Amino acid sequence: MSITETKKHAVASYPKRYNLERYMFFIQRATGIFLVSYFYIHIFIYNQRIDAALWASIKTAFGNPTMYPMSFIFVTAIMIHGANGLRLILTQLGFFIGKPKLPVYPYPPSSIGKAERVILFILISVAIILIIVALGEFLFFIR
Amino acid sequence: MEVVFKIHRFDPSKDVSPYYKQYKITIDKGTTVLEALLYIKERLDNSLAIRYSCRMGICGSCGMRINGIPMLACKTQVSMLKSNIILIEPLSNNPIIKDLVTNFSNLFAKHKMIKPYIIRKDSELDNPTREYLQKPNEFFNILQFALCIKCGLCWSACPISSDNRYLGPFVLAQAYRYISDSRDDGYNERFDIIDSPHGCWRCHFAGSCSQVCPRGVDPALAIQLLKKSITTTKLGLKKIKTAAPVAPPLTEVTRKLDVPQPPPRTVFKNQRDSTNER
Amino acid sequence: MEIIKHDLVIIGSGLAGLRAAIEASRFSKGKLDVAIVTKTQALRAHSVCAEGGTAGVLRVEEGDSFELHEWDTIKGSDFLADQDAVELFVRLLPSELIQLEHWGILWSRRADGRVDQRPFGGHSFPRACYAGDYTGFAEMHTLYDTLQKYDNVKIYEEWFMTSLLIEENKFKGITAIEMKSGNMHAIKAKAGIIATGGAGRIYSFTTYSHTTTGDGQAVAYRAGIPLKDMEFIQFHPTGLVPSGVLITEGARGEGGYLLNKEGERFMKRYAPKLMELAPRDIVSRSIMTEIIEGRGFKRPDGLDYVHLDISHLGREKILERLMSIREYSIRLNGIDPIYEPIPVRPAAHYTMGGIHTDTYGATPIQGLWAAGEVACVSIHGANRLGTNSTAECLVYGTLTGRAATQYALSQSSYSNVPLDSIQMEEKRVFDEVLGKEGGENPFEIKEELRNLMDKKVGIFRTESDLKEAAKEIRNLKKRFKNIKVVDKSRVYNTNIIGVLEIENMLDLAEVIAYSALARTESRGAHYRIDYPQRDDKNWLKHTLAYYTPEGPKLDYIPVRIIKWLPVERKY
Repeated sequence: MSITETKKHAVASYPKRYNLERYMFFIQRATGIFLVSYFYIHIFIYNQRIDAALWASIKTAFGNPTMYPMSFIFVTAIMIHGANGLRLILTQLGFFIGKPKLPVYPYPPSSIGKAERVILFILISVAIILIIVALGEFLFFIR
Repeated sequence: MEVVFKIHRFDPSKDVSPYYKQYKITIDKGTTVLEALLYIKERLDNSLAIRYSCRMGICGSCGMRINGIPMLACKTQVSMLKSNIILIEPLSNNPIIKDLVTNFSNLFAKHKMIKPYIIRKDSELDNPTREYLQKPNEFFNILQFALCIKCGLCWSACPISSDNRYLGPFVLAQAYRYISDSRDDGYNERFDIIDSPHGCWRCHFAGSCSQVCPRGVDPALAIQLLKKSITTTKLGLKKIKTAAPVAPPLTEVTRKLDVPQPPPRTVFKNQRDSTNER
Repeated sequence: MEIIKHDLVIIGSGLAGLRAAIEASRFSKGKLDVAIVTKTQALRAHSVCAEGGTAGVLRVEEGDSFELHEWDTIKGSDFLADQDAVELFVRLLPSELIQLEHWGILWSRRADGRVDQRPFGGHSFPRACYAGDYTGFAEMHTLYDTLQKYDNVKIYEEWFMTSLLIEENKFKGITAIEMKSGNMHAIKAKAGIIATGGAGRIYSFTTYSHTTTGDGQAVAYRAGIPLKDMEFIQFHPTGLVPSGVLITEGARGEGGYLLNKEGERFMKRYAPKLMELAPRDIVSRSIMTEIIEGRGFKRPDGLDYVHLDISHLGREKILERLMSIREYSIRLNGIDPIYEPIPVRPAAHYTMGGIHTDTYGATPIQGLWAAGEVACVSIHGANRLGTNSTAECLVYGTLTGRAATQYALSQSSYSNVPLDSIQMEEKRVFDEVLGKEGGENPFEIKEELRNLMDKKVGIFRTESDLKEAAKEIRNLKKRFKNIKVVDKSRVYNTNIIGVLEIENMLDLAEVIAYSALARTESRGAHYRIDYPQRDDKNWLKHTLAYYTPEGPKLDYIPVRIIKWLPVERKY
């Protein structure tokens, strides 16, 4: 074994500021708060149906194409939140997080290890594909 | 190499609010942050308060935020941080006592809540005869969680630790360590405290605790496994484990050793040449 | 100031302290009101740094026996150990090990699920139970966790003991500074156990934690309790250069080699039979001889070293059994021992001496016990065998915990604490020490002391060096009177705690230098170049050092020999 190769093993490792899952946690929180508030606003607006005149004006207001991006943001949030949520459900049931084992320096954590990253990327990719499809739809509508 | 240490200072008996004080020092290649801080404390400013002990990363005293990341000062080399200004702050989510020292009593109280000891019903527990058997897979199942030094870095890194009632990563890791110990029989006694809104369900798996853990404990893994265990228990799918049995007497000698005999006695008890004096 | 009342006060939260607290709670069935006073947080004691293992006779079927363990210990001690104490100690050990196992420690196991044992220096049988190479850590955390079972124990974390309250040869309590508020309190107790550990921080190149400054010994010494055999300081052969971090003897127990510059296993010239697994004093002297004779590797800062090679053990074994030392050498030196040898040199590691106690850990003061490294029973004599230190903490923690409980339960009422001495102590600390406005930086005095001890009271000692050291220490003590305490605040004042620690270190350094100067022979860890032979005719006796304001006054007591007369010690 050459010296350069041995030296490669012997480098101390330091944690980064935030890991990917930590950013996902923020995104999950943000989309979650957005979706819950969206839900309440949605209920509130639909409740205006009892007043027919008001309801008609609301319908025209929301029928305006300038309101479409709002719906697009809603779809994006729901996709990301859903994909990440699915990952969380799977990991909480013990899938994709590895098994307890003998820790070997520099102690890479298995819970945020390879398997978990792969499943995260797959689910997020699916979400992004769906978002792109949705984007196409919305662009079509706007035209 | 010249480095500026920007250190969080706060003395509640005279300061109204915390402030940062800068110290410029020269460091060598291998100098750790703790060595640098001790140099500052012993040569430049004796009043700096830090908590430190073993300087080899096993006692867990010197946890602090270095450039914003919770790390053990003794485990971190200054030159590896690749920065000329190093920001030193106390761990977050704990009350600050002074400068870099925070109060851990809340964390240790929570640690006590999860009953971190072997619970068994047999009388063997306190009247030992022979060891309980423990197979290699049972051993490796909990080994990494037993390596926790309770330094509090995970608690500082966790985004939901601002909920002061949350048990916290290392406490839950210890809960998992004890309930899955093959010798333990106390799963039911610990169930309620773990399965509470402030127990393992408060965790949202940001993984930061595992990211900063200096010992490879991976608390996030332990917490997810706790959630799995509780879910399967509630669904009635969990296999009920029986506590490990006591090892039978060793009948078959597997190791052949060349053991010397002690030399014959040269003094006998009645010749005791001095008394047992106090 | 406040006077707090407890039945039993335990000073120190290391292995011995925690074990004593558990035993007191268990033995009294939770009735005894126990306080643990510790200057660090309870889990941060130096005991966590122990790595190699804990010895105990578990496998009689495979050829081990109590007599053999006794003989190894006594021969290892260079026949200065009290043999009745060794006999007791060896017989109580196995149940302690199994008890720890029942409390949840993860001893490394054999494939069939039984506790495994590894060979260790000076032991004729592989009898060291181990948990990887973090044994002390595993034991500490197991005991701390088990202690959570009992509600009758109150832990005073970060309280610094400043003095013992003793009246008419009877223990009354202690005074301590609560670091968080900065107030002095008195704890009044029926019985007390000192378990504060060793004093090795007075050396510069050492494996000790920063906090191991011998406070227990110094406080007891000033209270009039004699210190026994303080000249015997163990140097561990393998301290990582340059930090001094401990590289466990288990590395050699598993089969590691010590190599000099020429790549030669030099131990064959010093201990042909046991090679690297000779007792620590012999290996340390051999390494130093190699270095002095120019066969070590040079370093610009003077910390010349030899190599410890474990690369031939194979990756699996190192990852499983020597994981922490691998981590330390990667992190601190950038060396992965799987591929490269580790640079090591002898480092101050253990204080064989300590507070004078009888076979059962009782000090000459009624109601006061001492357990663990702070005490000198003496089991270790002139040189401790590896793995016997954690073992001593467990056994004597149990013994003293039980004895102190019995004593405390038999005392019906608290006797009054001497109020004037509490007030005097408060005045001494907060008016005199805190108010010091001289010109000296106390931490510079500490640095000088530590370098002095390394240079003059190290592995090889001579009369002229020791005399000079004694003079120099007196000088430092004089300078210490003229220090400046910068931090005048009361809250978590580490400045004043540091100053009190340095005061303790200076006292102990003086005792060590004087005791070493008086002992004109070479025995175990105490090696005099001018007297290289062991002298059983004149020196088969323990040193006792008594405090006087002018300096230590030495006295001697005989060694208790009940089984084996001293013979030549060869490995």
